[in-house]
Amino acid sequence: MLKKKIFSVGEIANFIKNLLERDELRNIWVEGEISDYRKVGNNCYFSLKDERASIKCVMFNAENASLREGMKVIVKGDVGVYEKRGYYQLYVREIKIGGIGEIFIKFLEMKEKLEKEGLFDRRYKKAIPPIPSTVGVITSKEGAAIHDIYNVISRRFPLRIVLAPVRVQGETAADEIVRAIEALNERDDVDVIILARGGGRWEDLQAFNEEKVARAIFRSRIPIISGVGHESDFTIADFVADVRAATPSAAAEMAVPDGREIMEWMDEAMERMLSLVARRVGRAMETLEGMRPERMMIHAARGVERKRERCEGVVKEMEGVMNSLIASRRHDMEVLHTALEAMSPYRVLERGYSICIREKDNKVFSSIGDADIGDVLRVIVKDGEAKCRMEEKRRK
Amino acid sequence: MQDGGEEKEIKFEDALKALERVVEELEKGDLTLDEMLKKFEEGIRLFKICREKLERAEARIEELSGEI
Repeated sequence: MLKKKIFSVGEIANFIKNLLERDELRNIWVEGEISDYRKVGNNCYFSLKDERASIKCVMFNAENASLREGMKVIVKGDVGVYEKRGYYQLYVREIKIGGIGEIFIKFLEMKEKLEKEGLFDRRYKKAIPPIPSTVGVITSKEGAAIHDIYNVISRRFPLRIVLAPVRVQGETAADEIVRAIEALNERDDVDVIILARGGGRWEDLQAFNEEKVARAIFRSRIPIISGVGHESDFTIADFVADVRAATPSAAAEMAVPDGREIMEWMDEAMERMLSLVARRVGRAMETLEGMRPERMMIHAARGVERKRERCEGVVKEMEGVMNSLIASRRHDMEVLHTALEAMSPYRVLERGYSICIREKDNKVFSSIGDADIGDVLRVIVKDGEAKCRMEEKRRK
Repeated sequence: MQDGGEEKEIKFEDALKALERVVEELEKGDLTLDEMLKKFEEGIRLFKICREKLERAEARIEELSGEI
């Protein structure tokens, strides 16, 4: 800073702000005791103190925090300067409540250990299948999580859910989760697994922080989506899982595609096919128009009978399909429909062509080798047919 | 529509992929009219399978039994 200058308060405040708001003081965990606790709306104001010092803290939108005076906590946040009042404080984003210091340190140690081993590495993350047939769910039978998941899946993309019921907290929870992961992996019908638990206190999520659960997730051949606790709660399971969702509902959304989007894609595909076919048919019609009727008197397409049936079938099917698409694009569809009808062989007859069929087997006579002298042929014209006997033939 | 055993068996995902392939092949444009109609019919068949599966689909929960 320049000497000899007279600074404005704002300049000094800004200078101090720049000094304090640095990376080392961002995303830090601080342990202390709560004092001067106040709650205004959804915001909490308090000081965190220990024997030596105290620091002002503020937490915005702290709906879930149930803090009390004197409570021991660990908070996570950034140091920041409140220039207007001239003090520095801790902007808290996360609070872990009292007596959990030890579990929390264990959690951090476990996280570091597994991270070093590479269990969280991006390259081990398995892709979630875009369209699964069956979703495996590991959660409590009684909890809200399974209902949330069921609701999301039936709304978005209904399919079969295989529930592996487990306890999600308590002594046996971790072992049950491990066995559930293994059991689902033994099946051949599960495409993706959701490991879920509804929100709760952080202490209650400890099963999801256990090493054996982490390793079972890592070993799973089937991709796993974790949806444990609240938005702000991260567990070891979240880090090892192939994808982490903030809540069970969010996990379900990641597990299945949106049926409406697929339906839209299908409608587009159908329209694309209709227009491609109509264009091709149009081209065929042009070619036909270009031929002179005299040369076509005994013209017939190969397998015309079969083709006619198929064309009619196609036209009929298309009517069904189009009826559902027609509402939005009535005009286009009508044009296509007309083009498709025009390709019916009967329309060809209308325009003066005829079709010639062998009497003995109803096969179309389309090549000179198809019939011999003396064979009986049926000649179909637009308003009737004639039985004829071949007298002479000549190859072109 | 007849519901052949094979149609019941085909997975939604596979049917959708097959539909995608049909559209691609039609788009390539090197098919005869006959081949094109054949593909088109196949496309309509797949479209119907997919749509039916999507419309009829119901979410259901099966519980894994055993000693978890």
